[in-house]
Amino acid sequence: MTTVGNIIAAVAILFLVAAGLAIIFGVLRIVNFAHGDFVMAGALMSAIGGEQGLPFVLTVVLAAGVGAALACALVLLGITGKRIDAITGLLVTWAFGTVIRDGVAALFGAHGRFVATPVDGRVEAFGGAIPTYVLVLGVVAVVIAVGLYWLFSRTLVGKRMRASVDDRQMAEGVGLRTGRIAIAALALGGALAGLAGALLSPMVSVDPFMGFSYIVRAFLTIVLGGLGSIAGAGVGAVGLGSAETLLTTITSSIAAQLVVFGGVALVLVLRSRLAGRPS
Amino acid sequence: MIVAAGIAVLPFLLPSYYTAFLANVIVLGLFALSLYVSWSLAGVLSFCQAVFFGVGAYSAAYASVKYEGLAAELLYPVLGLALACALAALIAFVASAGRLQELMFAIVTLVVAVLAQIVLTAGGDATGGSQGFFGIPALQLPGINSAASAVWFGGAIAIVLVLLVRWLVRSRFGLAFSAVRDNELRARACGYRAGFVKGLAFVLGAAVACLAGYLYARQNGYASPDLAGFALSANVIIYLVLGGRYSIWGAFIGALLVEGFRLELAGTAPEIASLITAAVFIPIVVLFPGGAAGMLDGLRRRLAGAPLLRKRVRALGRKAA
Repeated sequence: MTTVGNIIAAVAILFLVAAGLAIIFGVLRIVNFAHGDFVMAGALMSAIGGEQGLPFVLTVVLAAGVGAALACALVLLGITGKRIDAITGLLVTWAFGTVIRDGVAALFGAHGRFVATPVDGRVEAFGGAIPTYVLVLGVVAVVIAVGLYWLFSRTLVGKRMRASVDDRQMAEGVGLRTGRIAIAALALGGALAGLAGALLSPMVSVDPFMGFSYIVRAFLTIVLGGLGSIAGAGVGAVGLGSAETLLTTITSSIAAQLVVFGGVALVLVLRSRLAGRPS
Repeated sequence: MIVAAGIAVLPFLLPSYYTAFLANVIVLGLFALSLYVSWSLAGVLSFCQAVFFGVGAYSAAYASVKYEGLAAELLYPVLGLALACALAALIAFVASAGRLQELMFAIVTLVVAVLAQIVLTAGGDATGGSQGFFGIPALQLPGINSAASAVWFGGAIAIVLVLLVRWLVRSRFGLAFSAVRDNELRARACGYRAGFVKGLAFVLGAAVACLAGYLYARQNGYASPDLAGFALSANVIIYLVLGGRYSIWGAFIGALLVEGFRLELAGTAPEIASLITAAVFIPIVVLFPGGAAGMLDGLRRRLAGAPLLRKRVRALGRKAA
């Protein structure tokens, strides 16, 4: 794969994962630590679906369903309840992610699985041969970004969610059922994670522990782009995904991670310094 | 007193396998105590506690494997402690400069833990790569086997630190810690420099973690990147939450419960142990934030009709004022 192809793939996946995380954070004010494991569950769904001979598109849809179902399971743990503050939410979702991870390892085995690329071939573009699948992936990510924009700006559901993000108490005051909105946000975020996992699965080895590297990057992405904003997730994904891929090509993946992770921490600090908001 | 007597006597009573286990529980409890200092006292939850633990462990390796001699034995642990404190101070400074909230701070420390493991794995000769260092000699009292020595060393240090931390809780510093933890805005308004107070708690926690790491490496004979990573940092949170984060003994109770449970299942199903620990963790953190120590204390106090521990800690703070 060329560098451009790598960047498209990294940015597309990162955007899908981070957008889901941002939606859940926006509505629930909770950083979903289990998000990486939802991604893993989606990828595993795709791998197992592939082994059973299901068509790839169907496994992608199923994976989105798996992600949404897992996210909604968080509701049963009381994640939408009043007694869960930001830190408790972080701890609960992290433990839930561990349960998913270890449960998957116990049920399906901890070995790596591979998924056949659904679209073969390469396309000459941007001065190199890019796998067709990566281009498809890029297009899907753009379509989903547009779809999310449409959802949040044009539909009643999206507007209600935004109202809930902006001021939960006020939204309740004008009669919105914020509990249901929170469940919808969880389902949407989880579905995006599952979808990202399934779309990712042909490019990597799928194992129960793959989620961690995505959650770390997705955290950094939404931190970079501004918490709880989907546009921010997009900007953050483009920045982080392309910077890390470029640096990996130029130097090594270790140096790239060091520079990018350190850089994001620095941006975070500088930004809140510049914004000058009282804490 | 009872604890001290128990630690003194237990190595004679237990088979050596369990003595080694006890030594590890003490050290891991000490490690969890480091999180107690920063999180329970000052409200600073960190996901990079293991980084400081790792620094301690590698300092033990530098003191005995990479370099030898009395000078190295004395120099490197001190350098390690200084490095851990400096690192914590740097993180705290950056966090304070960036005015990071509790949640953002947790995420930044998570990234630090991930980075530390990457650096240690990629460090080449300086860190021993992904293998780390092996064959670190145990601290041994003359004529006594290494596991019993470890229990006594660790136990003595743990008791001293528990007493120190208790003193800290009752001191004016402890008061500042709880003021910042319970209501940062109000503490600021009262003239406390909240960033400094939280940073101080974080640095103290880092120092305790570093010491625990040094002891762990001495009694287990190795220092590897795992000891500085995210997984171990998360483990410590499990110890403290299950054991009880409002009680100083919670750290040790948690380490004993979790490690004991793991030991039971280690031979048959290690993943199941982790699965069950995490599954138990969820209702505890939501419904019983006091953990095991809180439940025990609640039971005792309900029988005696006295206020619960959490309230008692606050009352203690008021008394110190």
